[in-house]
Amino acid sequence: MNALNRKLVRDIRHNLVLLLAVSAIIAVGIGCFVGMLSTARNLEYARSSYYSSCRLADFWLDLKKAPVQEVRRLAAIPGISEIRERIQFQVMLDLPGAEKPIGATLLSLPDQPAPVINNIILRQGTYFSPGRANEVIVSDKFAQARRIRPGDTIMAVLNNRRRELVVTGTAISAEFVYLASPGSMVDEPGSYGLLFIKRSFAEDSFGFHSGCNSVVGLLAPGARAESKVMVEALAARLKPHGVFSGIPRQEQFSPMVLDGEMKQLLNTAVIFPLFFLIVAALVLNVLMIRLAEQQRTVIGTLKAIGYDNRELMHHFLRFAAVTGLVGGLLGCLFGYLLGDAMTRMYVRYFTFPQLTSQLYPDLQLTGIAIALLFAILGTIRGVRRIMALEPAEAMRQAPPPLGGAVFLERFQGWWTGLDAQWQMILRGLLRNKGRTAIAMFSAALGSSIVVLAFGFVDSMDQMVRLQFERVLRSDYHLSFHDELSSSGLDAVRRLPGVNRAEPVLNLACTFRRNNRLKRGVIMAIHRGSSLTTPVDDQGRPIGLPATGLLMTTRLMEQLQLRPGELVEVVPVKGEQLSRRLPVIQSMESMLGLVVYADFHWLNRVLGTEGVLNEVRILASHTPAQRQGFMTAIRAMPGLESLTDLGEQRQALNKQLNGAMRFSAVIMILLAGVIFFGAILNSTLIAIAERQREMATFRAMGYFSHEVARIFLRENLVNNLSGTLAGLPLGYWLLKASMQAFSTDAYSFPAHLAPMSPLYTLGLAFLFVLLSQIVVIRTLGRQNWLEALSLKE
Amino acid sequence: MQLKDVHRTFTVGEVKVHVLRGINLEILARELLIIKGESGSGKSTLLNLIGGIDQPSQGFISFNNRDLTGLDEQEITRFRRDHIGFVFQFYNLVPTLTALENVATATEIAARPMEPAAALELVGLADRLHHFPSQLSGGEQQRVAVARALAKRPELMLCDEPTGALDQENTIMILELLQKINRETGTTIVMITHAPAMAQLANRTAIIADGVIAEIITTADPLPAGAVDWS
Repeated sequence: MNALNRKLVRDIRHNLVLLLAVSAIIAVGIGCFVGMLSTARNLEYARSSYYSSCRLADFWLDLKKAPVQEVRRLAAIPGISEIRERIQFQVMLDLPGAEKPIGATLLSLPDQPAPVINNIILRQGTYFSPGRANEVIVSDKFAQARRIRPGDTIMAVLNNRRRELVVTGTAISAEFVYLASPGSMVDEPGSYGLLFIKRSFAEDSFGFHSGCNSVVGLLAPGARAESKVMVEALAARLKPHGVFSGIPRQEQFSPMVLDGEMKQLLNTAVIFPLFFLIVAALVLNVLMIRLAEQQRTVIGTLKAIGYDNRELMHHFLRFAAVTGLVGGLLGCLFGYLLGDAMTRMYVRYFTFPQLTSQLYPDLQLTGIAIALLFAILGTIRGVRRIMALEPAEAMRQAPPPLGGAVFLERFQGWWTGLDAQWQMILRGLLRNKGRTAIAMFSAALGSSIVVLAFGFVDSMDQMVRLQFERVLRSDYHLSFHDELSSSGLDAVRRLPGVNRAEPVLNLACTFRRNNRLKRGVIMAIHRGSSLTTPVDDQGRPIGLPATGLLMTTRLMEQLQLRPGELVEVVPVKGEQLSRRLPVIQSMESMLGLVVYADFHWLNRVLGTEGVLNEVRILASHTPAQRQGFMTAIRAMPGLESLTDLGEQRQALNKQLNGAMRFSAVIMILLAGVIFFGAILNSTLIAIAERQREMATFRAMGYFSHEVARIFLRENLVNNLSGTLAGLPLGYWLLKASMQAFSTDAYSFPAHLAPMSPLYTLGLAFLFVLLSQIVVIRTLGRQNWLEALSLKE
Repeated sequence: MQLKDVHRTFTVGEVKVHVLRGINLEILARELLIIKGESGSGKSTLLNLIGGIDQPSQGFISFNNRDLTGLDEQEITRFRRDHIGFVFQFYNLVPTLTALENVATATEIAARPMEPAAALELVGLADRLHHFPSQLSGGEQQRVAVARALAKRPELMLCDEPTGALDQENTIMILELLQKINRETGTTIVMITHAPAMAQLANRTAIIADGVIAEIITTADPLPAGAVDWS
């Protein structure tokens, strides 16, 4: 090792704490980058192999009923490579031990195993046997939650008839990587399932001989880019058979949720680490400039001896490279662990045949390269200063720092009221503007991450609160396959424990304006409804207009509609007559692109009276009443689903309390690394620079803790003002994140609880106090006598 | 080395300070030349110009008939590396390197250097090779600095008040060392001082006053440092 490298090693050793602080910040940034991208890749690999082994469809068409022969002819259309027809129904199950009837999606499969589109992968048991008709394969997660095993029997209501089904196996399907019951956003295993039955049994049970109500297909590779157009064309061909919906893969619920999650991961993997890397580069910049000043004479001497700028540049860049390399390597390790933990978390929410954490050497190497790049970027200013230093000038003593009054001294009355220590601190901060700005900027970024972490939790809490306390005040929703008259509503009102029951008419329809087209649902409720309340973006109730529609802002934007304009509405069921209806006002919805209308008005528009297909119920149940209620529900004909809002809220809260609060704690800890690293760096540099000043104070009779208090005050000024500046930045990031997270299926309001900014300030204060421990220890180790006799 | 009509002006704020006002000087091979003058007379500025760590505002400096004034940064660094050895008043050792490693900083970039240990042995520090500057006395530190300059085998060694920070005993030791190097290796030495007695050690003494060479005194028989009356 040559002499300069030895010097490098010892310089690193002398500045170890500072460099480790910078390396830790880099490590967090690189860790997030590597971890999130590794997770995205784990998901991507699992997804692509799953989709191809199950032959996941490129499009879905739901219809009332179409002849199989006619559907099969669609395969001849250019761009369609394969078509599969099947039978699909929402059914209710009656499981032993389950208090309430449970909903499930029932799908037909060929009687014999075949590599069909949207095939299943068996996890337990076998495929259907040739002999028995009433066999069923149950989704694996549901079977596990409900302890259903091959050989068991389950009762299901198929076409209003209770049928016994024999379980032959459990399976997973690429069509349902993420499964949530209709109207819910949370995967509640055990409360909603998938049933796969023989095609012949489905035909018999639902009267669908040579008929189907679900079409799935694959597109030729060249036609995939045009999937939306292809789906529209197919829907037009099948229009006489009553097309309810035509959905390309990217808009199908499960692929859409998975795509959205992966996009978020990729975006976060780029933006989040930048925060840490920028702070690391800035802190390193301060450190290198300090080093350039500290080693001024050494640099001059080396230049005088004959070292050229290139050699010295390499020497000091190596300093950065080591910091970057250590940060990068630690980051790779942290990234691998983070990727592993995140992948395990996804295993809980998504169903894959195999989702494992892998090590990606190219990502790790990219991470190290980025770490090195930012470390070197952070060093450049210091190195340029070193290069610009003339040897003759370097031999001379550095000019004393500029003195003079700072602008705060213009406020004489206030200034003279400060004690000498405060005056010294404020002068120091204002004279070192660059360094003060970097300290404040670091604190601002740290605090914005803390605000974001609190904001995530607050927004989710707010969403749950708004959805379940303001928008929906009901306890249960009953949906029916077909429309009921008011006598159906009366029957529900008579159920045990029902305090209030309100009718809802859901009209599945296509909204069209000019060339813009969107499928959705008009939810017609009573104007004076006490169980369902439309709200604005602040959660304030909006009155339902007597005529016309109240439409979600997101849907209005997509259709380019303004209040007062007309939108064309074509129902997907029935006669499919097109009507032009006025949009009166915009509103916000957390779940789906909801459109509200008055119950009676919509009935009038449709030419019906008092027709409903959903009942919302407010109940006060004793356990006996609840049991009676559930028994009665089981016997209710035409019931498509029962939603228990209490359970849904509980499931949402469970998910939030788990993943979301855990992520928030991790984010706060990572923000702590920024605070702690930046504070430590600026303070230790300040101590090194002001050794003699501090020694003089000690000589004058100051106690060690009094000297430490000077640094504490400095850090409090820097960090608390930086934290305050970070609050709006954090809120802006929260709004941007919530907007990015929102899809047609869910939308999250950006909400920060009033206490969250105070908690953020409190945490910043705590981080400053924690770093003060290191400051006090460092001050305790200083040799004041030596500092006093320094020649420099 | 030749200096012709060399001027050096510094600008401090809005004030121009004319430190050197036309220096004409020839440095002869193998001589020990002392530059003497009052504080602020321009001695150090002159030494920096000779050593190529500063550039004149006007005039010419040549070494072995090569004009140094037009050289770019790279070329002037090469000149220092190949021909010059520096000894500074406050030693300027790298505090994080041992004596041996400090000398190695010079030998590693030189074309035909001595072994660092041999250079330290020459200055009498064979038993102090692995000591850090903070573990050495002032005199010892300056001897390390001399070894660092010497180890490159430079043609010209420039010493900026090398004994300015030392007591008399160490002063004599360092000066005798420099005389010995000059005598035995033939290295030309230019040394700055403001101590009047130093003139007795050198072949020639250039007296600088008000930015010009006021007088050059030649000494036929220089005395060894130990024989000079320092009182």
